[in-house]
Amino acid sequence: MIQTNNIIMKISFKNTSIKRILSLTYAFIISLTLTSCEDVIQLNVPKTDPYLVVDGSITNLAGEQVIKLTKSQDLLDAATPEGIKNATVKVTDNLGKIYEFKDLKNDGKYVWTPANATDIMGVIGRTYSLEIKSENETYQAISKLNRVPKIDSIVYKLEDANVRQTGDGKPSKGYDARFYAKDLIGVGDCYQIKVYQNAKLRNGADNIVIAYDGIGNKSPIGDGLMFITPLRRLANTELYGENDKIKVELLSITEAHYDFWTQLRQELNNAGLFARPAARIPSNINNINPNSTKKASGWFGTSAVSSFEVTIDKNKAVKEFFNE
Amino acid sequence: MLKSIQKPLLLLLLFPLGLFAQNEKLTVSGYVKDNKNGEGLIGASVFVKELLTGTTTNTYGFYSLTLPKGNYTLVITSVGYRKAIRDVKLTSENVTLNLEVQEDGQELAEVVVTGKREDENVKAIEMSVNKVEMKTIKKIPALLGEVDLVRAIQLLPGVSTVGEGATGFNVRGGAVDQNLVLLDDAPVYNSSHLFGFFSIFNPDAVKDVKLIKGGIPAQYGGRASSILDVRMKEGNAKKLEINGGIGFIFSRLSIEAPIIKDKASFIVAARRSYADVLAKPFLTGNNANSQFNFYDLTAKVNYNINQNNTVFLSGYFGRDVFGNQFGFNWGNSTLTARWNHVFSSKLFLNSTAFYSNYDYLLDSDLENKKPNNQFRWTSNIENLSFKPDFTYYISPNNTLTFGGQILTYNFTPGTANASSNGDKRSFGAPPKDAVEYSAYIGDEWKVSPKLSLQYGVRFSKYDYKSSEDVYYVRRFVGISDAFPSGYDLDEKVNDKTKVLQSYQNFEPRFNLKLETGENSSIKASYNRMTQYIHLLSNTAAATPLDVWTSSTNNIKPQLTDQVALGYFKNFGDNEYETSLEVYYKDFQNQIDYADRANLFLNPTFEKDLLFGKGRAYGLELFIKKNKGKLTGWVSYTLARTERQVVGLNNGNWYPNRFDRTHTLNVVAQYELNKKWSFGANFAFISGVPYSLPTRQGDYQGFTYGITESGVRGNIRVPAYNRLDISATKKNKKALFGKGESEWVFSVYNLYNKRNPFSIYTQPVDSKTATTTADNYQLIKNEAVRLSIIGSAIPSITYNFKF
Repeated sequence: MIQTNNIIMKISFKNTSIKRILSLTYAFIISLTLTSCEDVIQLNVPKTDPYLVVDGSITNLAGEQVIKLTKSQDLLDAATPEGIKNATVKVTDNLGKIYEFKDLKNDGKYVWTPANATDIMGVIGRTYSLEIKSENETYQAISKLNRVPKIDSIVYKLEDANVRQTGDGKPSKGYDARFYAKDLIGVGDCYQIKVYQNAKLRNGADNIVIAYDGIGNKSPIGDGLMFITPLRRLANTELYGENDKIKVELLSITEAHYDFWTQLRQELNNAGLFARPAARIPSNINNINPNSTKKASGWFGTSAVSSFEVTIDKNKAVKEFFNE
Repeated sequence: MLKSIQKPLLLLLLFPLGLFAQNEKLTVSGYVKDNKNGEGLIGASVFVKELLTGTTTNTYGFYSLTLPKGNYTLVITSVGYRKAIRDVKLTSENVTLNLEVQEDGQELAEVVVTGKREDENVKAIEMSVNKVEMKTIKKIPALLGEVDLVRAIQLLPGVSTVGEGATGFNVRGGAVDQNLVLLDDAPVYNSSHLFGFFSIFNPDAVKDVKLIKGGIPAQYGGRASSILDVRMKEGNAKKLEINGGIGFIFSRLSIEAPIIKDKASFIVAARRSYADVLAKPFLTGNNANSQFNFYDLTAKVNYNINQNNTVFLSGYFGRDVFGNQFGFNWGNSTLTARWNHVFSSKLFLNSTAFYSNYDYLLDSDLENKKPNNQFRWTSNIENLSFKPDFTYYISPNNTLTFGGQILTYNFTPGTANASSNGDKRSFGAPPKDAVEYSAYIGDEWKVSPKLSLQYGVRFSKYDYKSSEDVYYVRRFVGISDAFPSGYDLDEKVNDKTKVLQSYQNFEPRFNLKLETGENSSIKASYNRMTQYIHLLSNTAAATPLDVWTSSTNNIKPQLTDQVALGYFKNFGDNEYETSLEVYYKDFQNQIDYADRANLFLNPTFEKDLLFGKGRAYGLELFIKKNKGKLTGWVSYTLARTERQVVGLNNGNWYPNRFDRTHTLNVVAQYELNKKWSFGANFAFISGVPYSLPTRQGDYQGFTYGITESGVRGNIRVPAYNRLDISATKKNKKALFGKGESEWVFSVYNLYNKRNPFSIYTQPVDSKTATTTADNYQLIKNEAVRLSIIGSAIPSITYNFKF
């Protein structure tokens, strides 16, 4: 059963993946026969009025919580986005408890600081409402903090780098790693999987990994499964070295947040012969005045987090991954 | 609109039938063929000198003329052939006159020359039709030297594509799925190999190509925009003939020979790419098992049983295979059986039965090594059809055509089979069935020597069945992030035995030709076309994995109405053909896609569709030089194609992704002497629209585009221009001192232009970016211009013939 979905996920019949396969094949063929090329160009883009962009998340981890507010930029603007200052930011849970967020460094990073460093803000099952007041406009967002399963283990194996793991000074030999965790029973649990190498988040469009139940795409068939192979894979883009610390974070997200990530990933990879028209990435931030020209983008998320960490020891490496 | 046309049209149809009952008339009929290989000549002129009237041969080379009793001189002419003159005594009985004509000595006799009358441009009633002789196509400088019918078609006025390497072609503002591509009457669903770089038609097996962009006769139906009618060679009925070639991409071989001389013959033609064979030594490790090849096989036999009966059997099988353990393949296959029967010298019947299948496959295990642990997704569209087509030659001034078709469809939009240690599961969108019935009648009537009319009507009925236990009905719930199209689906119980939805349409067709002088004419046409099937594709270029789907209770058939007006004039004893045409086209029930539409293996894809209307209009100028050492054409198109869909572009009109304002093509071929000839081809084409976000935001270190929902075509890709050249050197002898051969040298994109296909943004160096909680790193975007072909591409091809 697990294996079945394994294979399914290998081509993950989400459009992005189909397109990626097509594009990869295409690129391969073309490089053999023809001479396609990409040139970085300058583009004249229209001037735009800024939107409010929210990058915020409430977790059930102890410590401070951050909601970042920035101004949107014109397309291709190379500057660092400007933080939005002088906003009032508060979060209210469904029991009526209010959490104030303060712009401590006056840079648009609004922080809730607990009285004790071990205090926890996010509670599984509660619903959190965000309210932002900025420049005479009020924006709201709602998100429920969902449950998350625990991570059972991380396993690694010495491997040669595959095509995706080669190039740019990446090691040609190293450790490929898998993590094992089992989706909770009940259709519709959504997750984000984050991987840290020596405490550094592996970022990049290729490292956006999200799950719907135990598989990658929205379908009831993945319910209750051990996360299938492509999701288990922790070294998609680069192998690990000996003594590297690998940390996996499994974060619960809402289904709408899953849609947001799906589309964000699609837009970041939207290139080539099979590109699609630029599409709207969903946002749960709404101006309470729908007629206002001031709009918002981004996401206010809520996550329960479970994590697991190992340090790679060559004596503990496995010979084969389970069931692969 | 429909009703108001129907009645007068039927009256008009019935009117000429009154001309039937005329006595004292006899018929001369027969076939016109090439004396060298026995191929029937299409569109050759058979002219009665005494009466200054005549006819042309049909697609099988058959003609019929019913004339008052008397003695006549028939003059048979066809471009590239010597004029033939025959005396006919029509005094007591009908006469059968078959004749074989000889190729003109001045023409280099390397290929079949398609017959057609010299002044056809002006005199024929058809407008918006382009015929390109294979001889000409073979001389157009081609990408990597591969003679390509579909790319040649793209040099004609009114034809465009979304870009180099894109699958299919667009005719007068129509989408790629709106072209009915017929190979010996069987529809072909994907005309390309290797995405859009090469066409599936083997040039050595093709006899005749005709593109009908407007004024489409009643005998054709099923697609909204155009007909590309490709006819395969029958095979040399006189002697064994072998053609072949070796190029950079393909090698080709075709064999044709008589089975019974002048009675039965066959042709078998095959091509295969061999880039994989050449690349094999360089592929190591994980890539060692890579497969990438494409091939096609074309075969045809015909048997001329007697004067009144000829049967044909033809087939095509082509496939593209790409992959590296995991991979995919796709291909068309068709099988056509035809029976030509001459009931009487005045009534000609062609009955066709065909099978056509387009399928593709995604497979986790192309080599089938692990059948118990495998994922396999298949999708196909399959047809079976029978269609009789009658031609009744009432008089030289009146030809009636009528017939019908039953066409069954079987759609498998996508079925995935997965097996794991023997545990097999299957899911996806379930199969659908449909039947399309149609009947048509049309008449071509020469009202006076100057005025001709062609009019008819086609009636089509489409019955759709779903094999699911449920069916879905769209319900408007309002546009939101959860419902980007604004629609949700309600589930209803389906009776699988019953037709779920039925559609019927009348499609009136009308053509008029008025000669305005010895060498000029004005033509006008109107046609309505109905299309019951749809290619779901929301990418810039159609992919081979796009899904063909049926009209359903939610998806209505596409309808187009087109009016066209043209002026046609020939100069200098038909040395120059010119035409100027304008057209306006109205499209109904066009499919577009909401943001985040999921079209793959999704049983509820209808939720993500949007429907709207379209319009296209343009002006086409065509100047062609037919004779002399220098031949070729200039074609210029000024055009616009747009759509209006609720939910996209704020409900305003927006340009289609293949909208190109200016398209200029110059094709020139120069015959220096018997040994050397040269070709050149220049293209200047306006850029296609493209959509980009207008703002960018920052989320967890990603710079992402902020786009309003339903943005379409807010920027344009810069214009495209390219020059290709070729030189052909003919040798008297081929291999082993026999036959003849030629070397073709060509350079595609001579001045090394990096023509843009598209422009998009992508993350800068996203692969290596990392970030820590404190030291926040942001991945910015950059704008990228993609050129599919970024340099000059030289090639050499060797062709031979025995």
